[in-house]
Amino acid sequence: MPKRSLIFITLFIAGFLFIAFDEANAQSLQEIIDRAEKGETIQLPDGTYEEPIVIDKPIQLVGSADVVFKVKSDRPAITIKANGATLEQIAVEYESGANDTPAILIQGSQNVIRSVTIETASVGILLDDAHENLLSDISITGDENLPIRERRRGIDLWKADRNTIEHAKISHVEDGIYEEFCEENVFRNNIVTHSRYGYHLMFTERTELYHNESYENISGMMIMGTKETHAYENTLKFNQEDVQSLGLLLYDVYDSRIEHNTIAHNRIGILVEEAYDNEISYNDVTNNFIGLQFKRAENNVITHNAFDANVSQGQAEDSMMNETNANYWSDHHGLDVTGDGMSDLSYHVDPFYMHLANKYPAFRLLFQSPGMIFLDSMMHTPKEEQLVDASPLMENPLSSSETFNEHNTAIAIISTTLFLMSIITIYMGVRQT
Amino acid sequence: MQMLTVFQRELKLGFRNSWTYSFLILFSIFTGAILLLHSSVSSIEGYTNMTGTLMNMTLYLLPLITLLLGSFSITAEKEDGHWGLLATYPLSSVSFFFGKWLGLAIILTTIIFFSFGISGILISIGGQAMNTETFIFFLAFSVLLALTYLSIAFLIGALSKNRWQALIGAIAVWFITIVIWPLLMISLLTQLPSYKLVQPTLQVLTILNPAEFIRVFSMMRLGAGSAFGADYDALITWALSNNGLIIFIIMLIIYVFVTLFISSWIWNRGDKYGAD
Repeated sequence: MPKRSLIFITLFIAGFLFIAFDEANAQSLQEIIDRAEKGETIQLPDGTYEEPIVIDKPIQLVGSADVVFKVKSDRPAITIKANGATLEQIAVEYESGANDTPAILIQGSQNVIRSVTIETASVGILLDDAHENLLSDISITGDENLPIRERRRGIDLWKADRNTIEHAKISHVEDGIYEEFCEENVFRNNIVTHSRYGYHLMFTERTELYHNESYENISGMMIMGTKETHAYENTLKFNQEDVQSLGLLLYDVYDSRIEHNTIAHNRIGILVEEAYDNEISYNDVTNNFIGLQFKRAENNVITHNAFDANVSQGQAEDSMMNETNANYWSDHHGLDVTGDGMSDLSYHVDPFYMHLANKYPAFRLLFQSPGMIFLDSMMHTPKEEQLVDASPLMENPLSSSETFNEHNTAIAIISTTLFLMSIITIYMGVRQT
Repeated sequence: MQMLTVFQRELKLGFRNSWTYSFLILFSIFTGAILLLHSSVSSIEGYTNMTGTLMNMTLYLLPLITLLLGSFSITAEKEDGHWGLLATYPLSSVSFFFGKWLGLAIILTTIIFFSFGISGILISIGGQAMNTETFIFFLAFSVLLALTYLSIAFLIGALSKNRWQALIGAIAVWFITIVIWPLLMISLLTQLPSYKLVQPTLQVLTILNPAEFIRVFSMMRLGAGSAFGADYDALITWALSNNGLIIFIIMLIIYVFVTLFISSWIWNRGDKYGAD
């Protein structure tokens, strides 16, 4: 009996000491940072930290799998004002007291944020006038129960230049990565899902996006008011749930290159609106409701893309002077007399339906109705307003991405059953007396 | 009991009718062609351009066959004097119509099953790839379309005096509900005093036109609802909900019942006046 109670008391005291030690840690972390020399590495002991901290000198703050910042405050959980600081291996659970306060705020330059996990209903990371930072292996999860309009951005860049964001996994936020008034940022190998927009660019120059993925968001990639954006080898899929859904939007975009992207299963694959002098090539645009749509866009070059199995391959409105030649259209039955791999019959998309749908959105219910196709063939809009490919490609320039060899046993069984059922019914019907 | 007798008689007549087999052959060739076409396209699931095209091809042919078969079956009773004979028995026109509908429904379903069965077997033997869900979807789509149009065919039959009238009626209904439907909707609804009325009116008219109703619902179930735009958000949410399919089926059943009751009522009335 006494022996057991002794063990119990020892455990109790040990536990108490542990908690006390932990508390002491949390309370003194800012002091530790304040006392640290430039360039010093602070190894954070395992535990939970509840106090927001400010890093204002180039130190390295390194956590572990068990270091958690559980902060509820109207200040950011971590603020980096320094240049050249490093933050590594921590998890942040942040509840903002005030609106829009980010979990991590970066106001300095050349900092490295690596292996950081953030859970918050507020903004994940804000780079405010911060340059040449590297954000790598970041995971940000918003609150999936919040409606989209109440969510905040995953990573927000404001007047921040030459930053690199890579290997970030972001879900259930407003915009995955949002940048405004920024130059020369690089986003690569990121994945954004279940959010409003995957990647959202506003008034930026020379942004480079590659190997990014965007799934099941309202829209995949929204590029607006930008110059010289280069987006390549990104995957934008299943952005179709909302009536405004898009794979890729180019709005008010100049001199950009969009190439080798995979854009599939979206409501609209690529929408080019009021955009000029862009080059869109070698993209794989498949299984979208509308493959390519132009609205008041001019002088863009769209070539060597593959438009395959989109419900409506393309639509154009007030968009003369675009060069839309030498693409592959799966529904085009071409004829190649000269043998140069290009069809000598041109491919036309008539915008009659789109005109109608724009003027009277209610008539969109007639989308692909059998009579609509009949009407389409009777009503011709002027040739200048049609999307025309004068020399469509005969073969898909991109290797067919989706091949499937499904076993047909199920079909065989079902059809044999159907066949036998019908034969028996006919026999019984005829034999009946 | 009376209904069952009429039903059995209809089955016997139907399966001994050479028309049935002409349609069976025609529809088999058609189904085989569309399923082969679909299986040759690389796209897998959901709504694609190919799915749309094939749905539309089905919408062109199947309602027309159904309307002709159904309305002729009714007017034939009148013209050949069978009804005059049957009317001497204690047989109500309601059970006559429902019995006939059931019989023809079985015949049409058999035609569809046979066509899909033989096409599916050919696809399997030929080693073509085909998504099972797409196959079942087209089967269900065709059956629902045939059954609803069959009730309209009966209405045409009840209204017509002879086969010629029935033929004109059937083609008219087919032409209006399928071929020129969008043209009709666009030209009529743009005349409405307020644009706000267009969307609800179109929605109601779409529900009344079985071809459009089944097509729109199918597209929504295949995940293409967002193509219809923001105006139909509520409709899309409903169609995709768990009860959506059940309510849809119930609505079609109500549609069939109401049309059949009206047909038999018209038939009865015509009979009374016709006897004078």
